[in-house]
Amino acid sequence: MIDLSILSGPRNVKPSQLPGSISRGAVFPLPGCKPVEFLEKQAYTSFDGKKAAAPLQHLHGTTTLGFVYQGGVLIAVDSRSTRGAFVGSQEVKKIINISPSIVGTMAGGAADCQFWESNLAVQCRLMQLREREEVSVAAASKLLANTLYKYRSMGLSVGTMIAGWDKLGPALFYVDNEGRRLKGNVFSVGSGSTYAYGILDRGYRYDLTKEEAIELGRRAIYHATHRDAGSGGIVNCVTIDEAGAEWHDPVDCYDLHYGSPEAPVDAGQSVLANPAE
Amino acid sequence: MSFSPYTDNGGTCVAIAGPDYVLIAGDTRMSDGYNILHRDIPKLSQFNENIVMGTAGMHADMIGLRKELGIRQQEYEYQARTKMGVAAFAQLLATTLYNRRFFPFYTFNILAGVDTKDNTCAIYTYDAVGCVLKAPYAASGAGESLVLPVLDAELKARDPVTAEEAKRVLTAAFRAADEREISTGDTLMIWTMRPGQEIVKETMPLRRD
Amino acid sequence: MGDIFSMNGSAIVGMAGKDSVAIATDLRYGNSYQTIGTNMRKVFRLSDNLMVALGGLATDIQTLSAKLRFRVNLYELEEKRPMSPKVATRMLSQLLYKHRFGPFFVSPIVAGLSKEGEPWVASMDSIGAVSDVDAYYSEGTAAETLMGACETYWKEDMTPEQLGGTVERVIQAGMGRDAFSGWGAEVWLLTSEGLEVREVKTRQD
Repeated sequence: MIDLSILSGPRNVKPSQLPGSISRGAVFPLPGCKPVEFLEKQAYTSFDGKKAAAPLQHLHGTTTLGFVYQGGVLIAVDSRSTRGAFVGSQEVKKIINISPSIVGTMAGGAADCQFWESNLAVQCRLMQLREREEVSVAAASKLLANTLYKYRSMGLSVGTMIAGWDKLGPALFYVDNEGRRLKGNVFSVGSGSTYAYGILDRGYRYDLTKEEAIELGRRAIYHATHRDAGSGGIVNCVTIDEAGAEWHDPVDCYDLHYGSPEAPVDAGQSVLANPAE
Repeated sequence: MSFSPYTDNGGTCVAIAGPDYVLIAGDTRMSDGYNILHRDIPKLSQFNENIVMGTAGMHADMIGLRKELGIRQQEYEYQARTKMGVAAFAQLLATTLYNRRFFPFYTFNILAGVDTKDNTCAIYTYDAVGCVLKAPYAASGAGESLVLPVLDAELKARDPVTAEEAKRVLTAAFRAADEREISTGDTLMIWTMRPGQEIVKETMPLRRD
Repeated sequence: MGDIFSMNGSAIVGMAGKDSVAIATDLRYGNSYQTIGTNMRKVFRLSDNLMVALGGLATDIQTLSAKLRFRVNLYELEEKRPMSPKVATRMLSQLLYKHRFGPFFVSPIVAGLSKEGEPWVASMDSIGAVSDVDAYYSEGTAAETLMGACETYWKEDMTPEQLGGTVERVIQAGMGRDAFSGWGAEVWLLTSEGLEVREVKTRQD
């Protein structure tokens, strides 16, 4: 007899039965050799800018930063994604929501960050339901660090900051694909991070007001985009405090440089200028 | 020479979305280096009347990917007892691609669709390992770098254009890839999707050399 | 990137119109991802009706432009007539091929007007293989993105104003998708009236 009970009534699906590896904790098919060597031999990875016929991954350059200040924690990021010299996109969302009061940033491989941070969001949600308590930033970052540690030396590229507010107040962690996890007050990650640190170290104080903090974050990213070819686009900024995450208006780097928004290209003639050919 | 599981069969896909339409286009050439293997291989695959995917890159992987997505879509629709929406499919594609993180599908996809919940039109672009971005217009494949600058100049920071205008921009931009990129050519398939309407499927000749 | 041609970054495009030629270049001088300068000129006016744009390695751009200037000046002193763009193209090609086994890492575009006022654009590779059959050429790290825009926007017999506008549109579109060029641009428009140099306001990221 075929069991047709699934067709009626509320279904009780265990997480392990859900399609997609995200809930299974991810099992990946592997080629019949070491993944890193395999992909390098195929010359399709482009992280070191070596031969890259058609690179598989987006996002090499990036500037992201975060700092803790008196009112909470701030995250600011650029929005460019590159593949070698080619700018793949100028409007990437590099801040990923983990929980209502925790966000993560993207630097390194775009897919790696996107996938494992949404995986982290799932883990956090499950943990919250299990423990009947908001997940702390420390716990969230450790979950990610543990996940990444499992995949150490498999060629993942992740450089992220996990920032948020929990019962102990604001917190900021740096987590990367090596399995490193550092707690700190000021971090910047990505190819433009040195430039951002320059501005940040000059302007950072713990007792910054929220407005000053936002201004500093944006300014640091803007200066980094000016010097770093891998960073650019728009500056996204979020502050997190007791009330949760607050997203601030994205500002175009063009606007930050010239003080007015970029106009569409008006030189020459649009293909729409003449009636259909 | 050692064995490689990958070949690049080239090709280009482009998509443009407006408030009440979304266009997705792809050429039909399949090539291997300097050889043209076939002149009529569609790069667009339809998953339901609201979801179309464009795939450039390796043809065999496109077939494999298409098959896997079809199965997972059916699985979803049986379980959820509802037709799959673009947003869900967009996430499914990302996960499917990332599942092969260490032995990737050599495919460069764009996804165009109509969101039936609010009748909006959406485009998602992917890299080979499943990084997904929502965008108002997109291109993928060998001609991406020739097409995108034109789309930027015509569409970036401007008011949305009509479907007719978008089609003119799309064909003009595709001409660039057609002229200068050898793996792109033969026929251009342009599909227009609108909320609550059948997909309009058109073709246009491209260079055959 | 690792490639020596793209170490400093450049975007150059040359285009012919009706009785006019134009060159547009970016102004960046970088070292891979690091932007060092935003005022590096890559076009050189070698004679009244002759300009050469050089993309590629900055040190070779400087050395080669000086060598070129010397040769054009010497030619004009000896011959007591201006060098035609066609001759300049051939001369540059010879100069590059002389260094066949230790080349200058440059990608040149030569543009100018002949004695009869005929527009001329040509480009060549780093060892002097010339192509002069097209009406537009692009070189540098942004060569591909620029070419896409050229294909779409070039039209036959553009007036000088149209030509100036078109190359500006092309350089804006092309640079926008290239990480290693930009940070300002220049349009050089050459007509029988003379040379007009215009700076273009561009993104600074």
